[in-house]
Amino acid sequence: MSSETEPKFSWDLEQYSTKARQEKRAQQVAEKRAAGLGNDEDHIAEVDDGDWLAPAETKARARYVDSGSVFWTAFGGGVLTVLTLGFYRFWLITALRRLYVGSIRIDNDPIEYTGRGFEKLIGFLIAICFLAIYLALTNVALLFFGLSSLDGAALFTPFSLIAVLPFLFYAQYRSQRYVLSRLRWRSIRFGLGGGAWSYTGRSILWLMLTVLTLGIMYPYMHFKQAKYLTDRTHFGSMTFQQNGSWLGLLSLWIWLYISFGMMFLFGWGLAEEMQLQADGVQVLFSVLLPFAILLTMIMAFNYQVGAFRYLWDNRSVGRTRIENDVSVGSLILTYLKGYIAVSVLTFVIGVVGALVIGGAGYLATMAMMGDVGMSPDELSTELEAMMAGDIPPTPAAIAPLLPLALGVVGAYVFIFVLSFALTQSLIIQPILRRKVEAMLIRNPQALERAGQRSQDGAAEAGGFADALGVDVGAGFG
Amino acid sequence: MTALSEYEKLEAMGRYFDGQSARPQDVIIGFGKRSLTIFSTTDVALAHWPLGSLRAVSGRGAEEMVLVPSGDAEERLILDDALMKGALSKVCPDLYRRATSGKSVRVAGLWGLSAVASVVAIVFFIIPALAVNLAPLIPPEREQALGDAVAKQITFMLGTSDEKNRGFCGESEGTAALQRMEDRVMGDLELPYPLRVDVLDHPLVNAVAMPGGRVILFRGLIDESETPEEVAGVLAHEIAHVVHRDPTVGVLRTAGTAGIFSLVLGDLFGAGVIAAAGEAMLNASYQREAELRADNTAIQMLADAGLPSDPFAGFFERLREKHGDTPLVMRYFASHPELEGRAERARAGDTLEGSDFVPVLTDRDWVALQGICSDF
Repeated sequence: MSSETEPKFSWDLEQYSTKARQEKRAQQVAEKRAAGLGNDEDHIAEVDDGDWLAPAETKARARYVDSGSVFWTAFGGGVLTVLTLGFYRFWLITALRRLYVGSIRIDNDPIEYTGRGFEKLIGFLIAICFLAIYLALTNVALLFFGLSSLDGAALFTPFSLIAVLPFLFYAQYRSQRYVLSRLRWRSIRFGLGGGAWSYTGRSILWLMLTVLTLGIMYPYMHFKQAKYLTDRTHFGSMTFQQNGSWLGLLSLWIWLYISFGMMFLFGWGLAEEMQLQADGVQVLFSVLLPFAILLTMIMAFNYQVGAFRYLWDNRSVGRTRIENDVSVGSLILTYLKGYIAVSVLTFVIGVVGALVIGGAGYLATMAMMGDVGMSPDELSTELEAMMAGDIPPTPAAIAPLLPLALGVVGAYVFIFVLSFALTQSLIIQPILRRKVEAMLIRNPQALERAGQRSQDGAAEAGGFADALGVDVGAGFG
Repeated sequence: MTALSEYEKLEAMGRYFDGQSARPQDVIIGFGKRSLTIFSTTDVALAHWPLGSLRAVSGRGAEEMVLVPSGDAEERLILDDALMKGALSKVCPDLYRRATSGKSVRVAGLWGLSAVASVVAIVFFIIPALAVNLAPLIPPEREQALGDAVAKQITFMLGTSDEKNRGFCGESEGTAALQRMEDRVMGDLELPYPLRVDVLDHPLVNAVAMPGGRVILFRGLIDESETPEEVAGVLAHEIAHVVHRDPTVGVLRTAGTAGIFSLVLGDLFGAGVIAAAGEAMLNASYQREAELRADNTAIQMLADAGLPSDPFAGFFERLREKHGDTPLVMRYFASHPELEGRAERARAGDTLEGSDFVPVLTDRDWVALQGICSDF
C-alpha cells in the first residue's frame, strides 16, 4: 500500500491518505528502532515529517462510498411515514441523511451524521407552537391594517407571504446550523455560529436589491448569503472561509437572465401576435418559444451547478483549500438518466404493484359481499341511500367496502412512495456522488490541527424550516 | 462469555480519534475482559471501551465500521477488518441500538401538548374572537370599497361583467318595489352603512351578502320564489349577515387560519391534498355557524316586520325537493346547514301561525319585482 512519494498528482489516492502516511510512519519507527536509534518517537517523527512534507503539498479527492441501500431506506421510511400520518418523516429524513453523509469520505475517513429523528420531531413541535400563533396573528393584523387603509386591493395582496418571508431566511439559517452541528469528521464536530437574525435582516435587504434591479443583482444576494454562512461555519476550532466574489456568479447568471428574457419576449410577442392575423412572425415566435424555454431550463441548471462549483471551488479551512471541478454536462446527463429511469420504473413497477394491491382489495371485497349475501347492485343501492342520509349507516353494509377502499388508497400510496424512493436512489444520490467526487482537498493534513468544539444544542432542529417547507433536503439539495 | 473467548486472540488495525483533535492515530485493537482494548502502534494503551456500552454509529451496510465507547462520547474508532467487524457484531448484540432517552420522550410529549394547544387555541378561540372584534373597527367606507371589489369579482366570475351595467338589473318599478321590501324587512334596524341591494341578471337560485352592506339577489332566486314573502325571507337572511358583519369577519378569519393545516402536515406524499381538504372543512364549519345565526336573526326580523316565516321554510323545502339533501360525507364541506333543519327552524319561528298579515308587497309590486331584469 505504501508507495513512492511523488509531487505530481496521480489517481493512486492511497498515497495521499493520512492512513498510508501513518502506516509508513509506524514502519519507519519500527525500522529506526531496529537500527538501534532508540525509542524517541518525537525525534524520529521530526526527521520523518521533514521527509514527508518535502513535496510541499498533498491533495486528496473526496470519495463517495455507498454505505447502505438508499432505495430500501427511503421506501420503508416512506411507507411508515404514510402509516403514521406524516410523523415518521423526521426519522426518514434522518436515516437518509445518515446514509448520504456516511458515504462521503474526506481523506479516506467518513463524515458522520449524528442527528436524531426524535430531536427533529421535538423541533417541529416547537416550531408549530410558535408559528401557528405568529402566522395567524400576523395574517389577521396585516389584513386588518390593509383593509383599514387600502381599498379593495387588500383582499388580493399576499399577506401570508409577507408574514412568512422573513421567517424563511431565519428558518434556512437555523436548519443549516442544526445540520452542521450534527456533522463530525475524525471525531471533530462541525458547527455554525450565531447570527440567524442578522442573516435574515441582510437577506431581506439583498432581496429588495434583487427585486429593484429586476433580478440582475441576484448573484450578489446568492454570494453574500453563501459567504455569510460559510464564514461562520467551523470545523472544530477551525473556521471556513468563502473566497471569490459575486462576479464569479454573475458570469453564470447573465446567461440565464438573457435566455429568460428571450423566453419572456417570445412568449409576450406570441400572445400579442395571436390577436392579429396569422403570419410569418407568429410562426417564427411559436417555433422560437419552445427553444427559448428549453434554453432557459438548461441555463437554470447551468447556474445551479455552476454556482455550487464556484462557491465550493473558492472555500478554505485554515491552510486547507477546497476545490471543485464538477461538470455541468455530466450532471445534466446524470439527471436525465435518473429522471428517465425513475419515470419508467415508477410506471412499470407502480402499475403492477397498484394492480396487485388494488386487486387484492377488490377480491377481498367481493368475498366479503358473498359472506354478507348481497349482490354488488343491492349493496350500491343501499350505500347510495346511506350517503343521501335516508337510512342510517350500518357496519354490516360498510364493512365489505373497507378492503376495496384500503386497496385503492394502498395502490395510490405505493406509487407515491415508490417514486420518492426511486428519486432518492436514482437522482439525488447519483448527483450527490458526482458533486462529492468533484471535491479536491488540498493540503488535508493541515486539518489535523483542528481541536474539538462543544455541542451546539440547536434544539429546534430545523423545525421552522420543516414546517415552512424549506428544510435542507435529505440529499442537501 | 463464550463468544468473547473465541476472539480472545483476535487483533486488528484501526484508526483512532481521541475526540480532542482531528489527528488520526493508527491503533491495534483487541479484546480484553468485557472490553475492547485500543493500543497505539508503540504498544501504549490508549483506551478500554466496555463492550456493553459500545456502539457502531456507521450503518450496517457500511464498508468501514465507526465505533464509539457509548452513545454520546467524543472518541471515534474506525476499522475495516472484516473479521473484527464480525466479531464485534457477535459479541455486542446492542451494537446498532440507538436508545431514546426518557427525558427526550417527556420533552416531546410536553411540546406536543403545547403544539396541539396552540393550534386549537388559534383555530377555535383566538382567530374567531379577533375577527369578530376587529371587523367593526374597520372604517365603513373601506368596508364598502372592499364590498365593491368583491362584487366586481363575482360579476367577473359569473361572466356578466361585460354586459350592460355589469349585469345588474335596474327596471325602475321593480327597483322601487325592491326598495319597499327592504324598508319593510329592515324596520328600524340601524346599520353602520347604507344597505345596498342589487339584483343580478343570472339564473342562479342564490343570494350573497358582501362586506360594506352590499347584497346581491340573483334573478333565479326571484324566479324560483312563489310569493314575495319567500324573497323577503332570503333578503332578511342576507341583511342578517350584514348586521353581524359576517362577510368581513369571514375574510379576516379565513386569512388567520390560512395555511395552518399545511404547516402541521408538511408536504410529503400528497399531504397537500389533505391540508386543503382540512382547510375547506374548517372554513365551511365557520360558515355553517354564521348561517345558522343569520337564519335566527332573519326569523326574528320577519316576526318584527309582522311577516310570516312559513314561506321562508317553504322555500327551503322546495329547494330540497328539487336538489335533494347533501350526501352524508359532503356535509362537512357544505357551507350551509341542512335544508331540512333550516326549514323546521323557520317554521317553528313563525309567530303568525297562519293568521292574516299585510303582504310584504302588493300584487302590482310583486309583478314589478319579477320583471326587474326586463329591458329598461
